[in-house]
Amino acid sequence: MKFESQLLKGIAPVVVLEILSRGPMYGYELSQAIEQRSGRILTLGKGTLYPLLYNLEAKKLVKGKWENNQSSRKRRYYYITGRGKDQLAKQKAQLKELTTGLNLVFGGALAMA
Amino acid sequence: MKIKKLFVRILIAAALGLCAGIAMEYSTAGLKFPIFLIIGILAGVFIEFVIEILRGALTIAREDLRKLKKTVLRILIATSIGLLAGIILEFAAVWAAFPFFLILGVLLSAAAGITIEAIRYHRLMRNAFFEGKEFGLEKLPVRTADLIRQVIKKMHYRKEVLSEVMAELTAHFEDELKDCQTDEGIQQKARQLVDDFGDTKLLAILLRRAKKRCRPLWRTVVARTFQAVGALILFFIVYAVWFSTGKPTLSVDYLALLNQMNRPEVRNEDNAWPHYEKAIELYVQPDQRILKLAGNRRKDFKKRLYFSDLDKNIQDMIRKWLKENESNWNDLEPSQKRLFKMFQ
Repeated sequence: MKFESQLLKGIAPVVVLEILSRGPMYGYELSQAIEQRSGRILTLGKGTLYPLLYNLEAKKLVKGKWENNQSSRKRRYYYITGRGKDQLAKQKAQLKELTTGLNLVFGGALAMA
Repeated sequence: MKIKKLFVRILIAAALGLCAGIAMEYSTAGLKFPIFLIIGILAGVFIEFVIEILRGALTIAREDLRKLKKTVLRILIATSIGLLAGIILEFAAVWAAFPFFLILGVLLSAAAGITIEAIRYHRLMRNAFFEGKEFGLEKLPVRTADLIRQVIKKMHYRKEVLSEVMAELTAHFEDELKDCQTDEGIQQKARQLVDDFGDTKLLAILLRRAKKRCRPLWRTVVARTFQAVGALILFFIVYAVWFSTGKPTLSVDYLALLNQMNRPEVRNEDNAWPHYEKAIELYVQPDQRILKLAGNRRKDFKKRLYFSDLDKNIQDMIRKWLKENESNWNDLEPSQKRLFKMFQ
């Protein structure tokens, strides 16, 4: 099942920050992790993922660093920064509020579904 | 050692030599103008070569040396053509001093040769960059490699950033394809990846925008400064063209206005100018001998000369001349009074 792209774009930064808060990852690894952890509901293509990562980097929420991985091929690993963690905490709180609000609107139907 | 780095170092050394030359030009007056400039540049380049040899860095690969020789040869050919044209012009032209056309021909052709070589080199480097051998792009299937090349080409951004993005996208595709065992599987997966990729231009725009946001403040300031200078130059060119081709329209005639302001407010009958005009019209010129005498007096004005000292003939001539102008003078006299009144 594919989410509506606009809805996904809205929550994609939070998702990326959340995944990166568990450890540094490079682009492909990150896209795989998002897909797996969301039960293949959320998918980020290259066209969305890399501009998003660079935007987060510009806002200093993540930091990219070239490192060698196990296959001795250089990869750009992304780390979440202190500011990124703060931002993640804020956005998670907002998402929680949003979910509560939506649940109230739908009479708990969202939580049950 | 890379030729590009060497070239940049030589340029820096030449620039430093030029600065030293300019300083010497200002501090001394012993030698003719461009001697110190030329010595400065040559010395700078020479010292740079010595430094590079001492560092052991001047070991150019045989292939690079061959290319460098060809480049130098082409520049020399261009310079020779310019020299030849200069010689022909020296023979044909008469309005410029001797070495003008020779120097002009050599300088222009050398500059043209260097510019053409620089463009060739830039293109060569650009093509080599987009081949992506540095990032292992040739290891990917042709479809995916082409896709990455398209995105990178459409980004139109700094080379360092482009290389970074190219390396990252190459690594991403490599990872996507690593699980495919057979050639057919790889090709099939590559086709699917290309189909799912979406619009390359849009991705290039998004990547470019995002990378621009990543640049540090100083780089943004430099970029904006260059843009502002460029805009100013463009504006100046447009303004200069408009200014030089346009024709002025007089909205206020300041000359007439000033004349009006300076004109004395007197009655027409008090105006002395018509009388002066009449006097000029009626004025009788003196004899040439009187004029000559007056001219000589001007040269020897310290020595006093009385009317009685003059020759009898000259005296008569002066008397006659005064008589001829007497009535004219009498007419002018009242107008002088008017003029006096006017300035009162």
